[in-house]
This record gives sequence, C-alpha cells and structure tokens, in this order.
Amino acid sequence: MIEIKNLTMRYKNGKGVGDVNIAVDNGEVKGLLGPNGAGKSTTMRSLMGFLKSSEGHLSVEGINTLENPVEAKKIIGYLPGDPQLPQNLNSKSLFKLGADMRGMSIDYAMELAEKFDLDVNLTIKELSKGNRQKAAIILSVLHKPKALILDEPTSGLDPFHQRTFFEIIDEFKKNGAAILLSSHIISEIEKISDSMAVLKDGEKIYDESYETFVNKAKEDGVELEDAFFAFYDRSDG
Amino acid sequence: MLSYLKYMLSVPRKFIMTWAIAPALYFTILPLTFANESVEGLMIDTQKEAFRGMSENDTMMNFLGIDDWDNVFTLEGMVTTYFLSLFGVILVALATIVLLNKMSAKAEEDGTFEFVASLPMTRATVYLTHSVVAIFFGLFIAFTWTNIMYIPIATMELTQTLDYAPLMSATLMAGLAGVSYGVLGFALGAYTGKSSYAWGFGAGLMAIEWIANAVSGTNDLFLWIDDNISSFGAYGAPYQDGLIGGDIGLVLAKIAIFLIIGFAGFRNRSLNLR
Repeated sequence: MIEIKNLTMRYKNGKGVGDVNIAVDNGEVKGLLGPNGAGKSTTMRSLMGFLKSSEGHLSVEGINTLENPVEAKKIIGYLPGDPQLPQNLNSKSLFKLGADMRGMSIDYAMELAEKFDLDVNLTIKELSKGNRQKAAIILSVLHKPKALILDEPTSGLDPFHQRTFFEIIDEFKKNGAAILLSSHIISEIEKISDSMAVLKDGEKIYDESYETFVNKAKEDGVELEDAFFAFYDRSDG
Repeated sequence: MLSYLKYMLSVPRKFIMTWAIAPALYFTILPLTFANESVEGLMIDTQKEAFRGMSENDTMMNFLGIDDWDNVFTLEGMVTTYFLSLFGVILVALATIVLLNKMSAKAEEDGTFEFVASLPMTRATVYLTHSVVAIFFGLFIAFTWTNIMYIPIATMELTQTLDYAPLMSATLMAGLAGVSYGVLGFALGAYTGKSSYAWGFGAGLMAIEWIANAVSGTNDLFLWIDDNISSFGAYGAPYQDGLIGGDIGLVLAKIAIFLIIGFAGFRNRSLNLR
C-alpha cells in the first residue's frame, strides 16, 4: 500500500504541493491527473525522498520512505517523468546494475525487453525516444516491486507498446502491487486505473473511483474529456 | 556499494582513460628532450637562452612554479617543478571537478541522477562512493602520467635520469594537492546540487592559492596563505626532501574538511532535479 499523508512541499518560488493525501491499496491502480505544474511529479519525488517535504508522512507497505529509504526503494519501482539514462551504457548493463543492487537476476528484465522489442545491446544514445522510455520502464519494474510510482509512463511509447505496457501493469495489479501512475490525459487513465486523484495548483481536488466520474459524464451526456475539463475549470485549487 | 562503484567507473570510462593516457603521452616529451646531446642542445639549451629574460621576472617565474631558472632546464627540474607542482596539480584538479560534476551535481541538473537516486542506497553510500572516486581518480591519473613518462627514463639511455621512488613521492604530493581542489569542487557541488558551485569553489580556491603562491614574496597575507593553507605551498620539494608529514597532513585535512562540508549539505537537501 502507498500512503501519502498531509504532504506539503514548497519550492522557493512558492509552488509545490500542500496538504496532499493519497492512498493506493494493494492491487489498485490509481491515476494521478493534472496539467503540467499541478504537482504530480513533486508528489512522486517527495514520496521517493528526492525532495524534502516540510510536512507529511510517506510510506510504502508501512515502510517510511524518508526514514528507511533503502528498504523502501527495494520494494518500489520508480519511473521518472523524463527519464535520463547514461548515454554510453547499453540497456543490458543498466538492467544488470538495477538487478545487482537489489540482489535479483536480469531474467525478468530480458523477458520484458523481448515483449517490448527492445535491443538491449544498443547504448542509450543509439535508442529512439520511445525505446529509451521502454528501457526506463523495464528498469523500474525489473525487481518485481510491490509498489509502482510511474510518472507519465506512456510518454513516447507507440500505441502497440502502450498496450504491452498496460498488460504489464495489469499483471502487477493482479499480483497485488499498489500502483500510482500520473498522467495529464484522462483517456490514458481510463484504460488502466481503478481510481483517480486530481491535482490542481498543488492541491488535491478529487479522489474517487474512476467509475463515479464516468457515470457523471454519462448523466450529463458529455464526452469524458469534456466532463473532466469542465470539472477541472470549476474547481478551486 | 561495489555495484554502484562499478557504475561510477563504467559511465565515464572513456573520460577516465582519456585523462589518464593523453596527458601522459604529452608529458613523455619531457624525458625525450633528453634523448641525446643534440636533441638536448636543440630543445633545452636553445629554449633556456631564448627565454632567459623571463628569469629576471620573479612573479612570472613564480606563476610557472619555477624557483631556479637554471635548475628548471634539467630533467629533474622540469618534471618536479613546473610539471608536477603546477600543471600536474591544475590538471588533476580540473579533471576531478569535471568527472565528479558529471556524476553528481551536473547529473542532478541533467536528470541522470534521478535514476541513481531511485536505487536502494542511502545518500551516505552515494556520497561515500563519489568521495572514493574523487580521491582515487586524481591519484590514479597523476601516477599514470609519471609512470608512463618514466618508461623512456627506465628503458632509454637518456642524457639525464630520475630516481623512481622520489618521483613517486613528488607525484603523490602533486596528486593530493590537485585532489584537494577537485574534492572542494565536488563537495560544494554535492552541498548545493549546482555544478556552477563546483567550478566556482574548486577552481576558485585553486586560482587564489596559485596566485598566493606566485606573489607570496610581495605580501604578508599571500605569504601566510602559501605557508599555512595552500596546497601549492604544501607541495614543497618532495623529490629532494621526501614526503613531509606536515604538508601531507595539511592536504589530507583539507580534503577531509571539504568532504565533511559536502556531506552535511548533501545528506538532507532536496535534489536539484530538472
């Protein structure tokens, strides 16, 4: 289970997130929605301990991610919003490092690379943007984590490999992983999430099951995206 | 930690090899200018006379790390004065700042550090690994340079020669002096997460101490800096006098203090991710 309680993290310019509470149960996929600058990456980076929050209790499977980062990171799979990997290494060496650091083998990573049609012997520099994203996704899940924190995971993936990604996420969900996945596209959340939380100007303005939102859109007779934008514009951040 | 150390060395391996080998080949020119009497006459004696006017300018001599004009035109003088005590120190410092920036402060700014930060390691482990690389990389390149440079000295019948053990003492002193500036750059980069601080402080202190060394005869403050805190000043004359405990102690103490300062900032700050 992923728990974010009363998270407040402010940058020097005053932006950031304030009093955010989000919980993701085991076997649940929660979409974290919001436009650029809403606070999605800040929330995820704070949960990972990269940003020092002024307030908040952040834990994964009961392990405080700030007080016990090593144990927490062993069971977390994290994908950054704009993954930058060392250009001169190939994917296989990166997978080996990720696996070695957690005492795992790279068998699962190689299996995923095959599913994603990724040539693991090419250096990161030689890969296209989409293939770099695939390598980063594999790096984040190769240790079969109990919790996944994925920041805009489908960015750069073609529709075929987006489907492969969703299949992988579904597999993790069935195995009981708690998955927090950010996006600024509601149709992407629609494909995979059980529930969604919406951030606006660093504050949470919605956190319910995805179905509730879909039903409301149906009642109003509007498209899902239109319903979302209308809701978002009405809400106070 | 070992896996991460391997990563630290494999990502910049081309950089490490380039900095270890390229300057070494260049510096091999120094012993080769003493290949025989005619080469020595052409390369050394001609230069010595052509630039003799410089010997009358103490400040210029000090800027180049030269105490004795005639002595610098011997193999011993060239290698142990202006090569090791000046250019060796500067190159070690610059290479260390570039390498550690690439793996820490600059890596935060360009985003590659986010991958490292997601690995199951404490910040102390990350910092300790970077510190080990900072210290040993500087020493590694310095010893590689002098050892490659020593190959013609050991294998050819040059007109002048050098003793190996004192040369290694001089290399250690020069390497540690360079490392002290490189480590300051790394530490301030780690403290702030900003690569510009690494350059500002690492190269900045090096410039101040270099100037203090050059103009120490003109001003009490610079003389005090050169005598008491400068890594250039601590170099002394290790080829002739051997290693001096106080000088090594000063440089090691500076390295330790800089590393502690860096860790104090790095352990508890937000990463400077883009």
